[in-house]
Amino acid sequence: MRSLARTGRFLSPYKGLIAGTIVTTILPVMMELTVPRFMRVVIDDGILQSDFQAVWEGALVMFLAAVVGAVATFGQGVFRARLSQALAFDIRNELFAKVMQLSHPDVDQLKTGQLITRLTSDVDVVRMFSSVGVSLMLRAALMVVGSMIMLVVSDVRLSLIAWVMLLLTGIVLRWVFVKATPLYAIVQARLAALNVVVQENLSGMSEVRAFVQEKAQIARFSDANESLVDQNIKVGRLIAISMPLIALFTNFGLVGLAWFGGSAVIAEDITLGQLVAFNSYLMVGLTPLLLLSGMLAMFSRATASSERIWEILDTEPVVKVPASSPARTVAGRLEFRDVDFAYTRSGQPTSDGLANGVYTTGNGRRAGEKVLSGLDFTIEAGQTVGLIGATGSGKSSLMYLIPRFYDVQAGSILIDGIDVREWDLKSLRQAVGLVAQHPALFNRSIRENIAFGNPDMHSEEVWRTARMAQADGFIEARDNGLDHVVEEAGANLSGGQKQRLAIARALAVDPRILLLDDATSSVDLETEAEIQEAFRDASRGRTTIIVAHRVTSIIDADRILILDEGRVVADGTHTELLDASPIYRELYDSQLG
Amino acid sequence: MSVGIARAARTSPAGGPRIGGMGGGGRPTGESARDPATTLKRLFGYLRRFKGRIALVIGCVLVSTALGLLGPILLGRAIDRFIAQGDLDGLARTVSVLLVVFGTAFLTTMGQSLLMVEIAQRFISVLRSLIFEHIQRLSLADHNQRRVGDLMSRVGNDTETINQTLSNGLIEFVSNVLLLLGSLVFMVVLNWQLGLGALLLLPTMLYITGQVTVRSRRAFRRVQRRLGVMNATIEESVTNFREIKAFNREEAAQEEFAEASHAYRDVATQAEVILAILGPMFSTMSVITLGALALFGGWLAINGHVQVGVMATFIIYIRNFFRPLRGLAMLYNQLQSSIAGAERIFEVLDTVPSVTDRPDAVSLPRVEGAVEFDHVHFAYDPGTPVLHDINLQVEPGQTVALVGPTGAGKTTIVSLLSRFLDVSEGAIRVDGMDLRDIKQADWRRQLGVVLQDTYLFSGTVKDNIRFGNPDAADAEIVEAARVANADWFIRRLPSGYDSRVSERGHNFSEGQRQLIAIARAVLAQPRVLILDEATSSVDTRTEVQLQSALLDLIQHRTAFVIAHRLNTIRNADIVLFVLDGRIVERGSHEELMDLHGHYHDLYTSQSRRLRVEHA
Repeated sequence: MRSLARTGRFLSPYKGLIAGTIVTTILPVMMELTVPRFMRVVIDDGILQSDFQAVWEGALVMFLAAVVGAVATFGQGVFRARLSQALAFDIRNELFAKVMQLSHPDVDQLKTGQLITRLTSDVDVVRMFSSVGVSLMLRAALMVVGSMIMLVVSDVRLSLIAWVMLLLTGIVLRWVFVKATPLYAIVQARLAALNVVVQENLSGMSEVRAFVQEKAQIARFSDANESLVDQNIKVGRLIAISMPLIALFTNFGLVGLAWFGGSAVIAEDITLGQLVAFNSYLMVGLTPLLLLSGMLAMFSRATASSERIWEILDTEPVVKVPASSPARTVAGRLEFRDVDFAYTRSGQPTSDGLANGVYTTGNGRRAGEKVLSGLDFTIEAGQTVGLIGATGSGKSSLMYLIPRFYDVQAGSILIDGIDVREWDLKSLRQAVGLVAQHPALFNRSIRENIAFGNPDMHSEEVWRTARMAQADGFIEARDNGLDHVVEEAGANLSGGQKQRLAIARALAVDPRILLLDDATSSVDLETEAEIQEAFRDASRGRTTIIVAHRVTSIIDADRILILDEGRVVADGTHTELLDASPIYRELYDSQLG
Repeated sequence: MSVGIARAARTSPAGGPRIGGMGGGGRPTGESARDPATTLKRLFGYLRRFKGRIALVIGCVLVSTALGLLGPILLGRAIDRFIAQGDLDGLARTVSVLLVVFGTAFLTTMGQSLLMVEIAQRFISVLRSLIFEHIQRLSLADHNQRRVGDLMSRVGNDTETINQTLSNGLIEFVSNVLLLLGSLVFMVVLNWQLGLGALLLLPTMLYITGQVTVRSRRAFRRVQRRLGVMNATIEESVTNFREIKAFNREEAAQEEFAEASHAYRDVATQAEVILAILGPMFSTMSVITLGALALFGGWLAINGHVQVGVMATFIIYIRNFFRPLRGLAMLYNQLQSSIAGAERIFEVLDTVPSVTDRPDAVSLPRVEGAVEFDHVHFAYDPGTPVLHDINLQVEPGQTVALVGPTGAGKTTIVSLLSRFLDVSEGAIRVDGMDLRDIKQADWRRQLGVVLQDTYLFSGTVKDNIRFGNPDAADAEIVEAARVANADWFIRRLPSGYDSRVSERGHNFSEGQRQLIAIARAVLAQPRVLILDEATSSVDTRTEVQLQSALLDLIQHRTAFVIAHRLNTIRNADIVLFVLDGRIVERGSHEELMDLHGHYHDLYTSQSRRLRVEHA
């Protein structure tokens, strides 16, 4: 409930809309109360007196009241829609902005399907509650309090009936709320789990098809679907019982009143008129209780969802942005000082994970096991360094430390003599151009993909960059050239084409430090040679690290580092290493000998 | 995702605006083509399986509504007849009857709600499964135009709109119809002139409701579509988190999301506002009717046609008449959101898979592995051919290497062989049988595929290795991993083979992922093996170690290998050089070297460059 109250802060910019909602909620009620009065005028003063003037006047007032009431009700609808949608919009945007602020260690643990669920379904649950729930609950509470006072004033003894009913209702409402809220949290978690299954299935579609795993996938989906449905039914049953139960209390209260009140009237303790009045107050006071019970589901659900929303909003990024750091330009001198690194588990387990038992235990690597240790080397500005090492030796991890996707465990990385953790994160990342091993492209035009980090580029620049990456040829072959749309996950491009677009994208930001993580693995040798040719120009003046498996890819580098199980085991030029490093020698021989 | 299908010469179906213009799903959908009545009918068709329980719900609603009306009447009688008369016995009797009435009402209301929860949930569960199962039937090419996030929205959000309408809608519908008919009958019996007068504005109301409905339907369509787009935006941003961070695009991504989020907010607000018209419209109409009746009734009363008491009762019933009417109209509009959701669901269900089993497709016995490409042509779009006249004869156990520049069509050739795509012309035969005459599943079960990008599913390492062979014993899994050179690093994981794989986490390097994929293919024990740059991210030393194992694997089976590192394919029986969708050179390594053509150039480029360096 506390998190739901916290969510209330999103309402603060909308005082006008809130005021509008309140006014337009009260107005129709007032108008509605006016109608019966003028109906009486029409009947008593008009029809009974055969006074047509009074009939006309009464009817006119009624009509006006109706119009005002209708306009106000419509206004209420508009205010409520705008308020709740604005609220949802703000929460969503803040959530998304938060996700974007998070760092890799934070996001590694969240599954895409879970995040989507929180940003859409959970936010929508809160929205629905804010749209309908709050005003109704307020109105109901006011009516209950008002009529309870009237009941006590009119007859203390008979009001006991009302108290008993109120108590029983309160107990039931509380019980349901306490039971339902955690159940709804599980509903949302299971919905997320279902989304994860769908998302994974779509992302791994090729594997599913190739290994004929459609049935297994359907079974997996069915499990997730069933468990979501079961949970929904479980909580739905709770709500389904609670509403008729409260109605039963209300009705038994009325029967009780008829019996005890009726006996009292027959015993002449109270008058019939008192009983009738009491009866009507009781009715007025009890109807909103039913409304409340109807709101209960929404309320518990919104409570559960708010918690899930705040879980994200309260996450502190592991990679912290320095408090104040001036934007600087990078020259490109890169220093690793005794760097140790391990992927550690961070952040709190999420409710999704807990509820499903699918919380990933951080990383497959032994928790805290060092991926990189004791790295100590310097790369001068403008140098090109080749990085070679076995599968899983930590090459990509080393790359990821430079733009601070992750932070070092011990030691430090310095750029131009300043610790990367003290760099303005934006300037730092602006200076780094990364081509990942399996680059992700976006479902938009080739132009936008290349100009991704530098959206203001004009066409000639985009073409020039594409040429540098040897991508101009296949782009030209497309009907609409740069405006050709890359399909979801780059499905309409070959592996080599994707890599070349990614290279162009990295070059487009004119980075001082260029990180190529096995960037040409899917490119044929001839094209690779051409790309390298182009790189020779492109990398002039840039600090470049090239991760590669082929010796030819790095043979021209100023220096070559060999990484083995997270340590640098050799460091030198090609010719030096041929003499000094048996590993390198062996590598060279196996590939070119 | 579907890197297996590289589609070099593919022209995009929509070069239009990225967001909005494509209607979230990717395929533009003409609104005119949709007919709400058909959609609704189809939707109800799926409800048929619940008809027993639905009948029970309706029964419960009838009883509970009747009891709900009876209760207050009895209470009124208790006061008028027994309390006022001082008849304690009579009061006691009525009170006992009331206890029974309310008790029964409680039971029936509870019963109907309990039943309805179950029906609604089971119903959308069925719908969700239908979509998911159909997605599994679609072929890869059918998916590339839809965004993952949008499809997810169809499975999750669009079904939810139906749930929301159904879970309360049915009960409300029945009870409103009952109340409406009841009060109508009562009014006409009470005074038929006034009764007919009450219907005065009915045509107007129906007309306005119709107008509102048309708009709300359109609005809801936009809402569901925008929700899909928003979902897709989130999905893409989260999946591509690394590149967004690397290129400082957080703010741009936020802006893009805010745009999608704003577009959704606008249409959602609009839809809500349209719905908000109905309530006030009905209360205005009800008051106008009341006013008119007051005048009319006044005139009747003055002329002695009607008693004032009757007028008073009538006023109460007018309200009882309008309330269910309003309820029904609201319900009808709420239904529009379900229709909008259902349309998007049916859009998926109606997508015809581009690769399907023929009705008379036969099952495939264990194959020897002879593969034949017989004048195969392929084009995604007629007019832009991707492959021209591919001819190939492969004996069982032979290894075929596909070489050539990226985008030449190598992956397309193996995609055709995997039947991810169907040939446009010609035929592919396995052991002399046309692939199209065979059941897809039978063929793929004998096929082992290792793709360029390896997707690992969440679960354990073990689960991922036995992906294609769920019944494999642990020892077999370990053996497969050992063959794939993956055993050593898996053993070093904290929980070994039971370590969890995370979606985006860097718990495995790309190379390790490829090794797991190879283990996966090894375990599947295929008759025909396809390695599409299966070791591109593996270091050369590991690759060399892998080589002998792979050679072993390849030895007894037909294999198709795509690789850029030519030394890995030197031992192939047939080397094909693919250029611009044609096989331009074919033969053994030695033969092609002697040819001094493309292959020769490619092969020698490495060492030639080296020699130049050292000169």
